[in-house]
Amino acid sequence: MLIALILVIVGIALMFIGVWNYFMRKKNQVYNVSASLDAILKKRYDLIPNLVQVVKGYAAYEQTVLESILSIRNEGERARTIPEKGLADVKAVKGINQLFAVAERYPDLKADKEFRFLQASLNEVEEQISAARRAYNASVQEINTAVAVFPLNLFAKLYKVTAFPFFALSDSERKVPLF
Amino acid sequence: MKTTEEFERFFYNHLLTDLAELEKERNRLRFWIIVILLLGVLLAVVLLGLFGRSGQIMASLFFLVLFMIGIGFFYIWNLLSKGISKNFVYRFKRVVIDGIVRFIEPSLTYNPKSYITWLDFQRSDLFRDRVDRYAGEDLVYGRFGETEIRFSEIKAEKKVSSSNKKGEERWQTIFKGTFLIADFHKEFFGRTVIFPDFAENVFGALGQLFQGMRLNRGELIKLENPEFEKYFVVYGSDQIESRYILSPSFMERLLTYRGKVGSPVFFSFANSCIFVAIPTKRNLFEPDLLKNLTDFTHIKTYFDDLSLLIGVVEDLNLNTRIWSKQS
Repeated sequence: MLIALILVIVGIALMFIGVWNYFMRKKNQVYNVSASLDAILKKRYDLIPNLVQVVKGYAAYEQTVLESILSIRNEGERARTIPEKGLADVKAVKGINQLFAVAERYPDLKADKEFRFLQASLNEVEEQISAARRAYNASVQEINTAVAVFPLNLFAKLYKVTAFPFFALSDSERKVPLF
Repeated sequence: MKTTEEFERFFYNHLLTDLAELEKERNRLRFWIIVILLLGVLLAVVLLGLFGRSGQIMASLFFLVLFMIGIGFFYIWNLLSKGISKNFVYRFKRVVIDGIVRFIEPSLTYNPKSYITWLDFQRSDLFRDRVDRYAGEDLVYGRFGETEIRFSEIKAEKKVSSSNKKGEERWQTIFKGTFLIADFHKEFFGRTVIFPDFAENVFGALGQLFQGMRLNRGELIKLENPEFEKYFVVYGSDQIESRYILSPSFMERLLTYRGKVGSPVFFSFANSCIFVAIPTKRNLFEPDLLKNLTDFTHIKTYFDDLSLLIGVVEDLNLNTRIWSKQS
């Protein structure tokens, strides 16, 4: 009888530990992917001033577009929460598209070797951002499902684990083509 | 890529003359093969007559001798057919396979005796079994647009412990089929492998559990495309990098390619290359001695097989170089 009782207590304790570890693993995964997402977003924001500098050399009259993209870039760098980052991301994509639209009007700029290199790098970074965003949302979906379904939701309340926000931005909203 | 109509024109304008010559040779070969077969049958009949006369008590001995003659005949037949058809096979490959390869893409080269190296096979990380015997043939290599590509037929086997008392060697096939390597258009540093999803298809949710347990393969990457998840299971060393490679449109392209192949396909991504392994029992680039070589529909099967393999570059959009990796 005593052995059975001990086994039940040990079983319950193991269950609590197991669920705690599960939540911690999932949370860490979200933090980890979120950190990677930040790193890639930073890569994009680091590229923008170089791009602006090159465009300025050929299209100095497009001051409004150039200043706007720089201010968007600064806003993006200041963003701290996921919703803020998501909003900054939308603006950045829009700004970059405007900048490329400007380039279309200047054939010399389009042919510039450095501009083409920066454009290729930015395409790459945009796709990396998309990948990181998808990875982040996949991790968030896993933990949010666990937080919502019974009986894990009871443990989630006990351990004060709450749902994470999604990095909400659909690919159709992004005008940069993904290949 | 070249269309069937273009190939039909090429077939009638360029290939047919050489094929008519080869067809004569095939007929000669077929004649000798029939002669050998008839001789075998004649020998069996003569033996049957001899033993038939010597009484029924010899019946068991007769069947034993007939069986041994059968085995001996099979070996002789094998040696003869290989020997007499060797030159024909070589000429066929030079005319048909090489011709079609150059027709599809003139910058590609065909070497019937070479194949993808064992090292490249290992680099794919698709098959981790110990390889004891490795062979191949029919290497096609070169540059298609911006993309370096090479593929060949290969067979990788491992020696397994013998089950019979004589200790005879038994070999187990690890992979037999076509193996393709192409330069990938994006730069990456980790490793992503894509297997046909047998576990989830057969065992459903339980299968998914098995997939998660293959820890030595890296992280199980669950992707957003349900159709893709139905056919493939993905493991990667870095979740973000795997998703960077497998963009939504690229997943669609892999699915379409799998549909074109019509059988399970393995993909892997390592060292900025894509590896594609298509298991087949058929020997794709060998001549069929029983079929007429001047028949367009027959030769078209070689064109279709080669187009499918070379077409991987266009099907997977590998020539698009809008990222920092240019070549």
